[in-house]
Amino acid sequence: MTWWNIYRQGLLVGIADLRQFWTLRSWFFAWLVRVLTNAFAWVLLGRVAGSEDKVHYLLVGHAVAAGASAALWASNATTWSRWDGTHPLLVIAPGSLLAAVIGRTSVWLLNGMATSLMSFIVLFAAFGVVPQPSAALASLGVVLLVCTSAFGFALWTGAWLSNRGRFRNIALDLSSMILVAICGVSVPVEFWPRPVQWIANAIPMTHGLAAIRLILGHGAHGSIAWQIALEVAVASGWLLLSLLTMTRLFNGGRADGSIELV
Amino acid sequence: MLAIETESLTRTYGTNKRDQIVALKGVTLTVQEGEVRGLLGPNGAGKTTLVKLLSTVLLPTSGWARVLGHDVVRETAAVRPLIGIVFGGDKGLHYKLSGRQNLEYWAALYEVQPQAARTRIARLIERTGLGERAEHLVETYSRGMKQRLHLARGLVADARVLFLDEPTIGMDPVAAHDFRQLVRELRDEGRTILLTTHDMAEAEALCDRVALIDRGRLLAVETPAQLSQYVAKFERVDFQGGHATLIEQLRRERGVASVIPAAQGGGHRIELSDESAQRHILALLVEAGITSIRTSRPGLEEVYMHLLGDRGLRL
Repeated sequence: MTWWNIYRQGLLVGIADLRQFWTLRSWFFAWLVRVLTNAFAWVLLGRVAGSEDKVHYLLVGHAVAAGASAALWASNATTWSRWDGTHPLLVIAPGSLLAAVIGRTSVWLLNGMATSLMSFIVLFAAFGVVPQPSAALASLGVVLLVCTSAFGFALWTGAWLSNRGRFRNIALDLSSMILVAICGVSVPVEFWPRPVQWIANAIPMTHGLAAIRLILGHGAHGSIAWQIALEVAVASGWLLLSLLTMTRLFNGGRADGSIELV
Repeated sequence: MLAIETESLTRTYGTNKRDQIVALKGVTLTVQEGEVRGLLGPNGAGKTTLVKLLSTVLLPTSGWARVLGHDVVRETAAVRPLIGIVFGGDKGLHYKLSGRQNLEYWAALYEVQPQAARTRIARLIERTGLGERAEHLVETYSRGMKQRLHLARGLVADARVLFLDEPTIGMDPVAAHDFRQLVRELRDEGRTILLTTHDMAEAEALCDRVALIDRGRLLAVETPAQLSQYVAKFERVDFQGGHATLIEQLRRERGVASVIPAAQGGGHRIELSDESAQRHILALLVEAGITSIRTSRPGLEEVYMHLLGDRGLRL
């Protein structure tokens, strides 16, 4: 109850954060248009290459990546309590700091989910892709999982960035770029050298995206389940790691004084 | 019972010895429950560091501290629900939330049950005079209103010990006066208050005792009145006029510590070292035809300047 209450209050702060960036209108006509423009460019490249398979590959990849990249904004949001001066007060409050941080940042997870969902709807409609309802529904579930996975990763990077706030934008861009480049969005993971593939398998989106491709391509149920299980493991791993890192770094800040840094 | 107790409390910043900064050096201090204790000192003196150590924001490098009998390092979880901390300035509030929403946020973080929180927040809003603006965004608040909201935030968990870190900084005189009235009310409820300030008038008006702190060291702990006696044990006599011969005669009189030109107005100030000399000195001035005479005791500001020396802007 207490944890949930703190989470709920944190979410209200997150919604206020989000409103500083967008109104409902600017979310649709600025943010979403920007995301879709990027995705359209990639998908049209596939069409120029003359292959409908490539069009489909790029369309699915970028619709999922749009959501994952949006969820990565949670890393930035983790640092904002430094700017508004609430960080030391959060650390010394008796209630759960993690609940407050997750509450405030999870609005970006919701933003990622909404971005991905809208990207799928618009891109599928634009390129005449009509998935089976069951496949569309299952894919949607995995999209939510991928966004959660990216959110866990973002919390972990956010924890490290918490007292290195000046790097927050470059870290966000870098992590977004890595995800889009090596996780099978535009080119298969197998395109990359083996060590890069290992990294791709350990970071969010790779397995979830593979599962969505299998679902939409009517792949074997066993393979789909395996990819989903791997993405669940990746998501859980990053979430757990982020919670441990936040606890350690935030409390450690009391000893080294970094709790006071902006 | 002691509300605050520290022994040889030290805090340094930096890991290698060459760059190390000692923010607080061996501070030993006790504050009784229900007392308003002022921490007075210039910028960088260590006041805020002491507050941060006591409120568990920072860990001490050495020494120990207890709040209401609980060690701030080993019993952090026991200390935190008992304390409230109010920083001066603009930090620590969510500007895109209303005043009420800010209080609800912190009530949740202090694990106040929602039903109890609603009642308490309504009372705090009323008490801090934010009633009409409680539903407005904090970004529209004046400095005084933000500070009152800070105080309400510090009280949302019904703290028994309050740390007020320069709470009236940047406030206009009316807002500062109202804020001080609130602090007096809190004292009357039996709460312990540790107030950092470099405003002498504030310390004199609010504090039962004042701790003077400079360069991380505790210089003195006295009542504001006792501290005044550090500079001149007994009253001073200010007068206008008087020729050089009279000034020389006064300097030779028993019980006169010094005769110095007054800072303003062109007169002189006699500082006495013996209370019994006052009557004789006053008679001497009247006999010499001096008609503008005033006796006074030194204010806290003079004590402060005297003890810290004429350092100007140097830290």
